[in-house]
Amino acid sequence: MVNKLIKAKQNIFILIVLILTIIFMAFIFLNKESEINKGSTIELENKELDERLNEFMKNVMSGGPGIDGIPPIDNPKYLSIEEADSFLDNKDVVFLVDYKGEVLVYPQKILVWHEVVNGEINGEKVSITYCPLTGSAIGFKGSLSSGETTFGTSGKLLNSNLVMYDRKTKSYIPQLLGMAISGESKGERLKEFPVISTRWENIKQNYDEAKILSDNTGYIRNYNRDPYGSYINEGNYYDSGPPFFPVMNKDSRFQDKEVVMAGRINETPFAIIKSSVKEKNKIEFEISGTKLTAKYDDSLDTVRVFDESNKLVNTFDVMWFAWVAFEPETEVVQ
Amino acid sequence: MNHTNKLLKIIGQKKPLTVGLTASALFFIFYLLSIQHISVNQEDSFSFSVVDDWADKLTKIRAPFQWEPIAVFNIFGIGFFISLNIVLGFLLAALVFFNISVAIFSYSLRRVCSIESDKKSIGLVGILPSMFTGFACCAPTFIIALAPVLASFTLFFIQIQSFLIPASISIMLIGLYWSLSRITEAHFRIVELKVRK
Repeated sequence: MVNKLIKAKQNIFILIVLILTIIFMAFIFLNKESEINKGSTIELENKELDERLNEFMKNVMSGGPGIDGIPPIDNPKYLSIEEADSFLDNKDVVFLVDYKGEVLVYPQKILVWHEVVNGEINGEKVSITYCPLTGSAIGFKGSLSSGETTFGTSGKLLNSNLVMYDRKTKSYIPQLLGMAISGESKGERLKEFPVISTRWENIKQNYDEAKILSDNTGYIRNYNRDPYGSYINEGNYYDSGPPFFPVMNKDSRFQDKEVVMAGRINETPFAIIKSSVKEKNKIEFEISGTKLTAKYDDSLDTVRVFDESNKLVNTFDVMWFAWVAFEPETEVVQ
Repeated sequence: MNHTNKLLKIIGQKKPLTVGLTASALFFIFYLLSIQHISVNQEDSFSFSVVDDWADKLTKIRAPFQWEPIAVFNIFGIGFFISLNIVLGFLLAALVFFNISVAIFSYSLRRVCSIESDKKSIGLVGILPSMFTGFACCAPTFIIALAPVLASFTLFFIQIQSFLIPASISIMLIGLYWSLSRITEAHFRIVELKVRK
């Protein structure tokens, strides 16, 4: 009798543990459910592109967080230079947007925790995106053929790079590709605008009227601490060591974390070794039949690329390993 | 004597209670550090702030078993984030407390009783998984801290990350039950005799 009672108690305990485990599993499953609900994917007429995008999609992997687990800033607030100076140090990396007559500055120490800022510049929907794992900040216009949209963080990575999603069609868009690889918008390229990576001291010297993204983001984060290391001190993720996640293509011509200015001319990708331009001050080169000039801009410690008519060609800073992982056939300028 | 009574009797003793409480307090702090809910670089010397839409954010999931912080309490440069993870942390710390207390009690009986030393602390193994659940943006916190040594294991840890908290709780519950099953009323009498001596 006593033995039976003990056995019954044991069974009840095991049952409770099982129920708890099932509840936890259900919690995990519900989490996964929201991840895979990303809309139907279309098949493109351009078979080569379709295959390439499908290959990208196959290599998308979880970075850990769920959809918008890295929360985009959807209602950005801005401060004056004087106000922002209280939480920014001279050497802090900031991203400058000088577009349609507005000068907006996005501190890296805020973007590292949010990765996407959805806002408007002179009435146009725009998104400033930053991926800390690939060191790339790119501006995208918030419109697709399906209409105006905003972007979220999918919690996924491709080649260690942020995979955004279009909130309207749920299409996945790797930041460095700038093109949807799934969903209704598959094959559609986002329109970019220039985002310059520079230091806070350069903004103070050159842009009196700049408006700076406030650290009052609506979220609680420690904006004084960068989880990946520091752009001021050396010997951390940003300048050394391998990427954390697997990549599709590797190229050992340069160190993984070498900073290149990357862009595309007529869909031909190119990468300019930033330190080479800084050293030579100016490099002339040709991509896809277009003559280009890369010039070092001392005032912002950046490189700008111009075409023959002196029109700015959009390029962005990115770590070499990430660019070559997406674009193994990239042309290299040094 | 049922397991609840055994547990109450064990934590009623000074040594298991003291060691158990100390261990669970340390665990709680390490857990909060691992999920970045304790931050040592906050500027305000003393402040408390709550996000405007705290009711919406309270249940917002950032990653498996990680919720959005809704308030921060800053004191002398240290920030304490408040989220549902505090509740989960308390639950885990309570299990650590019970497991450690029972392990200490069993350990004190090792020379005079038949409790086998290799089986008495199974539940303690369950502490480990919960320490690896923290995420910073795109990668597990401990991977960032230990990279590049562990960089090649990143994917593996992300795949098992969802199961770490359930594993931690299940192992600690089963371990606690197992440990308590091995303690009889006679063991308590032996302890009482030892105390009297």
